[in-house]
Amino acid sequence: MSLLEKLDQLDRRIIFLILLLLCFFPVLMPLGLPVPVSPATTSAYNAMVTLKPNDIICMTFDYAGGSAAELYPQNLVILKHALKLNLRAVAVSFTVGGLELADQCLAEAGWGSKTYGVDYVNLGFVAGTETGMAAFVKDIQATISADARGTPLSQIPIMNDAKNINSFKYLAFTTSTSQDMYVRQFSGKGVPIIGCIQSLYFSVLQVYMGSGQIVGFLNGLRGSAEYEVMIKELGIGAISMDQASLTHWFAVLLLIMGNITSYFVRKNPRAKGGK
Amino acid sequence: MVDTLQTALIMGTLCALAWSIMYKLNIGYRFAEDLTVGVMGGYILYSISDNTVSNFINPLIKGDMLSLAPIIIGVILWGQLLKPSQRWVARAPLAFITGVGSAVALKGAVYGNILTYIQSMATPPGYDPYTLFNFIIAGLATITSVVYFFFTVEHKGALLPVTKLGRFFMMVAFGSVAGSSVLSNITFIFNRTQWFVVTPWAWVPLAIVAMAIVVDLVRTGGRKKS
Amino acid sequence: MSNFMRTQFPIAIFIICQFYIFFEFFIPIPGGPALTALLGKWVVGVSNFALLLGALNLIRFHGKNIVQQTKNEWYHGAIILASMAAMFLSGWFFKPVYTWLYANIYTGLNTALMCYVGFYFYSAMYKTFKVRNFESFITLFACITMLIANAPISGTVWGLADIGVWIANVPGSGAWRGFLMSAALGMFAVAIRAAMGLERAYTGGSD
Repeated sequence: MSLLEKLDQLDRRIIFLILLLLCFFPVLMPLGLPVPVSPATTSAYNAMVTLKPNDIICMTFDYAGGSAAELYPQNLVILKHALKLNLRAVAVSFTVGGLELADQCLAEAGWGSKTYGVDYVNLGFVAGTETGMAAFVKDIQATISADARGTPLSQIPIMNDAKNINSFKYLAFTTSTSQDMYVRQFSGKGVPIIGCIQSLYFSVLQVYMGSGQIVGFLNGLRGSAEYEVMIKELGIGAISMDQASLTHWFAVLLLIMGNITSYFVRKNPRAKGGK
Repeated sequence: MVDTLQTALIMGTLCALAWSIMYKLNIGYRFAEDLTVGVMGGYILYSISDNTVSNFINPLIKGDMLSLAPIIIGVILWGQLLKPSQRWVARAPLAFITGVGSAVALKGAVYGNILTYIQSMATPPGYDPYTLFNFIIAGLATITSVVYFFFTVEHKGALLPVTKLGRFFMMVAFGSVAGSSVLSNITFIFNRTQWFVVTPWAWVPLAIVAMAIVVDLVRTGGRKKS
Repeated sequence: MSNFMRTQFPIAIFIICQFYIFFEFFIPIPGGPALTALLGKWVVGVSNFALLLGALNLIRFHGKNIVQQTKNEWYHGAIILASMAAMFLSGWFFKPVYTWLYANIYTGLNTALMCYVGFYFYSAMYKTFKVRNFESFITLFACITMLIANAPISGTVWGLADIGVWIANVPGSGAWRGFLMSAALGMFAVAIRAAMGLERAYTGGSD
C-alpha cells in the first residue's frame, strides 16, 4: 500500500489521539496567543458600560449540562462585568436545566457579596418556552408566583422595580437552541438585547444584529474570551483560545489533506476498486 | 458530602469511561451513558414537579382557584400514556397548547421575521462603495434564497438562474455554519481537558484507562473493531 | 358526540385559541390583554405536565424492560431508573447529594459524553468532507475560511481572518435571512392549514 493509500485509510483513532494531545498541550503549557476582539463583542460591551448604577439587567439561562461548557463562561463574564458596574441582576430560565446554573453562575461571579432579593434574584424556571417568554415580557408577576427559592415575588424588593421587560436596561439571552423565539419576543421593546450563543449560530446572529434586532452578541467561547480581554479579567475563555487556535488549524489541515489524498487515490488506477 | 479527592477519582473514572467509546464500544461507556440519561431524567422530574408545586399548587392551596385549570388540563394531557384507543382524551389539551403557542410565535414572526428583514433590505446602512457592495450581495443572497423555497412553481426558464444562485449562496451559508460549528463541538473537549489538568488526581483514572487501551491494542495487534 | 370529541372539538379549541391570541394583538378588545395573559399562564402550567410526560414515558419504557427482563437491555434500564430515582429523591430530601449529582454527573459527565461529537466531527472532516463538484467546493471553501477566522491566532496575520468573517457576514448571513423569512412564511402557511383542519399532527395521533 502506498503512502497516499495509507493516509486515505488512516485509522480515525489516530485523529482522535492527535486532537486530544492538541487540546491538552496548551493547558499544560499556555502559549498566550493574542485574542482580537470582534465588533459584535465590542457592541455587547458598549451596551453594558452605558448603564447607570442600580440599573437592572436580565439574563436567561436556557441551556442544559453539556452546553454549559460553551455558554456558562459567557454568562460568567457578563455577570462579573455587571457586578463591577454596580448593576442589579435578574436571572430566569425558560428551559429546564438552567435553574441551578443561574445560582452557580451568580455565586461564581461574586454576587454572593451582594444581598439576594435586593441586588439580584433568580426567578427560576418558566415553562412554555415562547409562550412563557411572551407572558414574561408582558407581566412578570402574573407569570411567576415565586422565585427559585419559593419566596413569593411580592416579598422580593428588586421585583418592585422589575414589572415587565421594560424595567430592564439590558437583556442577555443564553440558549443552546433556536434564538428565533428570543428575538421574536424580546426585540422591538426598547431594551438592548445581547445574544450569548454557541458559535454554530454565528451567521444567524449576524442577521439579527444587521437588522438591529439585537445590539451585539458573544460568539461562543471565543466571545467570552474577547469579553474577558475587554474587562481585563482573563478566565476560562482566554485559556481555551490557545486550544482553539491549534485545533482549528488542525481541522484546516485535515480538510485539505483528506481531499488531496482522496483525489490522488481516485486518480491512481491501482487504487480504484481496491478499497 | 463527597470530598474533593473522591469526586476527582469518581468523575475522572466516569469521564475516562465516557471517552473510551473513541477506542471501541464497551460496557464502561454504556454505564456512563445510562447514568447520565437517568440523572437528566431525574433532574427534569424534580425541576418540573418543584415548579408546578411553587407556581400552581401552592397558589391553589392559598385560594387561587384559577390555578386549578392548568392542573386539570395537564392531567388530561397524560392521557397520552393510555392505550391507543383511549389516547384521544389528550387531543384537546394538545390543541390548546399548540393553538396558543402558534399564535404567540406568529405574532412575533410578523414583525420579527418578515417586516424587519424587508426594512433592512430596503435601506443600506451606508453609501460608501464597500458598504453598498456588501448590501447588494446580502440582498441578492436573501432574495434568491427565498425564491429557491417556492416549490409550487417549477424552477425553469427565467427562474432557473435565480434559484441556482440561491443554491450557491446557501452552500456558502452551510459551509460557514459548518466551520463555526467546529468551535461549538470542540468546546466540550476543551472543558474536559482543562478539568483533567486543573483537578488534582483526576488524571489518574484517565491514565489507567489509557493503559488498558494500550494493553488491548497490543493484545489485538491494533485490529479495529467498531 | 364521540366523533365530535375526538376530532372536531380539539380543532375548535385550536382555532379559537389561535385566532383570539393572534387578532387580540392587532384589534383592541376590552379585557383582551388580561385574558391573553391568563391563557399564557395556563399554557405555562400545562407545559410543565407535558414535560413530565416525557419523564414518565422514560420510566414506563425502562420499567417494562426490567419487568420483562428484556435480554441485554434490562440492566441498562435498571441503572437509568436507579439514577433517576436518586436525582429526584435527593432534590426533595437530600440537597447536598442533589447538588453533587447536578454539578458532576448532569454537567460534567454530560460534557464528557458530548466530546464524542467533537471527535467524530474531526474524523468526518478527514474522511467524509470530500469535494466532488463545484457546490461542494464552495461549501468546503466557506468552511475552511470560517475555521481560519475562528482561530484567534489568524487575526495576527493581516487579512487572513477577514475573508471568513466577510463570507459569514455578507453572503452567509444574507442566505440565513432568506432561510428565516422562508421559515416564517412557512409557519404562516402551516398555521392556516392547521386552522382549516388540514394539519392534524397537533391532535396527537390516530384513533
